[in-house]
Parts: sequence; structure tokens; C-alpha cells
Amino acid sequence: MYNIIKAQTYQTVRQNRTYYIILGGVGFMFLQLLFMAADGGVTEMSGSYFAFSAGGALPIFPCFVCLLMTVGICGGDLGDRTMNYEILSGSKRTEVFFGRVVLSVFWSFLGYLLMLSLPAAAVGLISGWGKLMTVRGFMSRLFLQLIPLFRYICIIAALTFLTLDTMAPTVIGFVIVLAEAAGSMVISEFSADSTLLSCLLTVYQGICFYDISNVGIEYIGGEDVMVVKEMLDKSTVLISSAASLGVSAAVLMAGCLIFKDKDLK
Amino acid sequence: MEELIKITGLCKQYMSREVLKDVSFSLKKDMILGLVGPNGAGKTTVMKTLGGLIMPTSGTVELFGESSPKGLAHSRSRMCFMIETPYAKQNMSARENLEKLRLQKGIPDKSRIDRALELAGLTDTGKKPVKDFSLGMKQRLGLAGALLSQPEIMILDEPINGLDPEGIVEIRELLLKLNREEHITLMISSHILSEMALMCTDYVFIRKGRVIENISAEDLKRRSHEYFLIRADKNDMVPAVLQNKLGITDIEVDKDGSVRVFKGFSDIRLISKTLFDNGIVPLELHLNDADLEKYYMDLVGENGEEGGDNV
Repeated sequence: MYNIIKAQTYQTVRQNRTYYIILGGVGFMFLQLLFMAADGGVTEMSGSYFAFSAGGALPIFPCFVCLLMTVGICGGDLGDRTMNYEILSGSKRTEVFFGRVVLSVFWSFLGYLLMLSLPAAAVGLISGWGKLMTVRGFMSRLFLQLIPLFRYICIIAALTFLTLDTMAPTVIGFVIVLAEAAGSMVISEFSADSTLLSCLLTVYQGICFYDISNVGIEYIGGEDVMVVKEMLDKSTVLISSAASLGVSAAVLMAGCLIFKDKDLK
Repeated sequence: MEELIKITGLCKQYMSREVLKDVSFSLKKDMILGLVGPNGAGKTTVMKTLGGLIMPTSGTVELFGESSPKGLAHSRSRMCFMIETPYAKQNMSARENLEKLRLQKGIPDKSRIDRALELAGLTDTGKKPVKDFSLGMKQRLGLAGALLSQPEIMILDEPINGLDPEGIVEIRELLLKLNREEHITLMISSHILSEMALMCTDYVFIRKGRVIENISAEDLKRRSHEYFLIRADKNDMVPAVLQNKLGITDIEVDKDGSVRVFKGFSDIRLISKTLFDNGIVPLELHLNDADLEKYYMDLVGENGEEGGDNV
């Protein structure tokens, strides 16, 4: 598997597509924040405010970056039969499968981290970090969101290997994100006790991490300021992590087992 | 001779469609085996099954004596395949493509890239991306990739497909050199039978997913029809003269009027003199020996009653 990862890394860093996806994601986030600022909805010009706004308001778009990256790595070279030649040269199918999943996770996470942290860091450098959320609080949310994203990446990777296509998993992945966004709205509206269901939705988990229930008022520097709790609720973290990792493992196992016996064109 | 590949009773079925039916043959060391058959006969399916891209419905494949999934995967690292299209990333140069393959195959020695480029005649391509290569250069890059791991067996699907005559000669000479000097055993499929005849030591004829003949080149030569080809100014008179004056009955007239005289008659001077004495001027008169194309057409004709070619 190590050889597959090395070869795929060599290929991925030489593909323009990789950089277009990352730059597109970061650029899109910058634009969104600019629109927010232009809209007059910004109450505080600070890095922490933008970090909190971006994380809470836009959990859908990081999913799209992961979707494009994963489909690109797992299925982008089906046309030139790279995967076929990996098997023909003696690599086991499990190595081909997991090698690409590992790489998809790495590049998707990189894209996501840059997408969310660069705009906040840029505003923070210009206007200061602010008091809404500590850097530690932001980092913990940023990295916790990797767990539900990992599950989403696994689902897309498995779909790409099952369909051996790029269009179908892209469309399905897109629909999943939109359906999750709609489901999240419903859950939020009725606020029913749907902990397990919410933990299965990547988008909703993203919203949970930046939920208003995590925000309180503190007296800092002689004034009352709105602050985001530094530590997240333990049960939120544990349930979402367990649900994400459980689903990821099940999806990867199923995907790999089916791919092992699949005929390649 | 040592058996490197052994296929026994291989069958492949898609829904109700049988693509391979009880295919059995073996590849021995130092052979150049030609897999011959019409489009859709199942040649590529056999190669893909050997490569692990297609799972057989039944039957067994043994590579270097190994038949377990783990053993097969390991054995494939001692082989190289070029199936349908040669491997190449279009945006990368020849060297970059080989470097990627080197990493993929876990070959520590970087100097193998130079050797493979040299063997394939691609040393002067520099940073030119593969998308700007000619078809022949792409095929040679595929072969360079195949040579990178110093394989013991090469499985090549239509390696001369689409090449110009010069390219065909280059690839043929390279393959013969690899077989003779590097002792690489080859399995080749091609539609260009004249080229196969120049290279192969053995043939497997396949049609509608079934092996219809497995024969060595020597046996094929013995069993092929040797014949005199005669073209004369009065072609239409030739069969009658040969029958009446020399008692030759095994005669065939081609579409262009030329005459083929088969078996049992080896005196070319007597044919020439008899034709001349009867007012016929022979314009062309020569002995055609082992003709793979004719043999193949006869074989396919004998087995061709079942319907179309596509399986």
C-alpha cells in the first residue's frame, strides 16, 4: 500500500486539478466572507468572528471540496487505466483501495483546513483575533469536524470504487450534502431528540460544533462580550465521533469487499 | 520446458453471455505465444483474467505455479502487461511516467529508468508531455514501463496496433531482442498475422471464447498448405492446361484470376515449360510456404458455422 500511496502522491502533486480544488475552496470562502461584510451582517471585524461565522454558516462547502478531491483521487485516472496497471503490476486490490482512500483523506483534509483557516487567519492578521472564540476553541472545532468529514470521504470513496465512474459519485455526493443540509434545517426547526440521526449527518455535525448553544456572555476587559465556549460538550464529541468512525469502518469494509471481486474495464 | 503460465478450464460468463468457454493452454519459458482470433473472440478477456482485472466464473489460472490470490498477486509483480492502451499519464513526460511506475512497483534502483528509456529509444524526449507523443512513441513508452521491473513474462495486447510500418518493424525487433537476449517470455495478441508469423514460436487460435487450436509454429508450417502461385497472361487457361497436361487436380483460382497449385507437385520448371508450350506466358511463378493467414482463415472457416464473431 505504501508504494501505491507514494506513486499516487507523485501523480497528485503534478495535477493542476488538485490545486484548482484547494484554491477554489479557499477563494470561495474569502468571497463568502466578503459578501457577509458587504451585507452589513458583520458585527465585529476580527479573526475569531470570521472563524466562527465561516465554520457555522458554511459547513456545506467543505464537503464539496472533499467530494471533488476524493472523486478525483479515487476515480480521476480511470480513463487512463492507472488503477488497472496498479493491479497488473502485482498490487493487491485492498492496497489499491486503501491507498487511494488514505490519499483522499489527506488531500481533502488539507483542502478543508486551508479553506477554513486561511480566511480567518488573514482577517486576524489585519484586524486582530478578537474575543468571540479563542484560537484553541477554533482549532478544536476545526479538527473535530475532520471526523464527520472522514465519514463523508469514506462514503464517496466507496461509491467511486463501486461505480468505477466519476460522474455518478459526484452527483450522489452532491445530493447527499444537499439532503443533509435540508435534514439539518428540519432537525434544528423541530429540535426533537435526534442525537443519533444528527450524528449521522456530516453537515449537521458541522453546525453543532458552532451552535448557538455553545455561545455565552462573559465579562472581559470591563465589558460584556459574546464568547464561544472553549470546550465542546463531551457527549456531542463522543457520540459524533463514534457514529462517524463506525459508519466509516462499515462503508470502507463493504466497499473494499465488493471492489475485490469487481471486474475492471 | 518450464511452464510459467497454466490456464485450465477457464470460463467467464456475464449474465447469460459466455465470453470464455473452457479455455486451457500454457505458456512455457522462452516462448513467444501468439493469441490469434477475430475481434470479440476473447483474447483480451484471457489477458485481463491473467492480470487479475477480471474474475473468472470457473477454472484456474496458475502463474509461476501459484494459484492462490496472494500468490497470483505476487507472481504478477514478475510479469508485465500492456492491455488495450499502454499506461501513460498524458500531462507527464516519459521520464516522469516511468518514475511514477518505479514508485508504484517499489523498484529502488532509479537507473532502471535510463535503461528502459534507452531500450525503448525514448532517451531524447526530454520534458515533452506524453500527449504530444506519436502513437508509436506511446507504445514504446508502454514497453519501457513494462521493462522497468525486468519482467520474466510480457503480456502484450495488440502491441503494434495503429503503428506505421517503420514502427511495426521497430517494435518487432525490440520484442525479438527481449526474447532472445533478455530471455523474456512473451504472449502477444495481434490482428496483423504476417507480423505474428515473423515472431511467434507457438499459437493459440481462439474464437467465440473457445480455443480452437493450440499449435507450435513448426507444426503450423508443416500443416500449412504449400503452394505454387501462378499468374499468367491467360490466367483462365492455366487450370485446364495443368489438369490435362500434368494431371494436377488440387488447384484453386483466386479472385484476381491467379492460380494456386497445392501439394505433391514440386517441379516449378516443368510447370513453367508446360504453360509456355501451350501458349501461356507465366508472369509470376513462385512457391508460397507456411502462410499463417491462409491457415487461420481455413481454421476460422471450419469453425465459423456458429454465427457472428462478437462474443
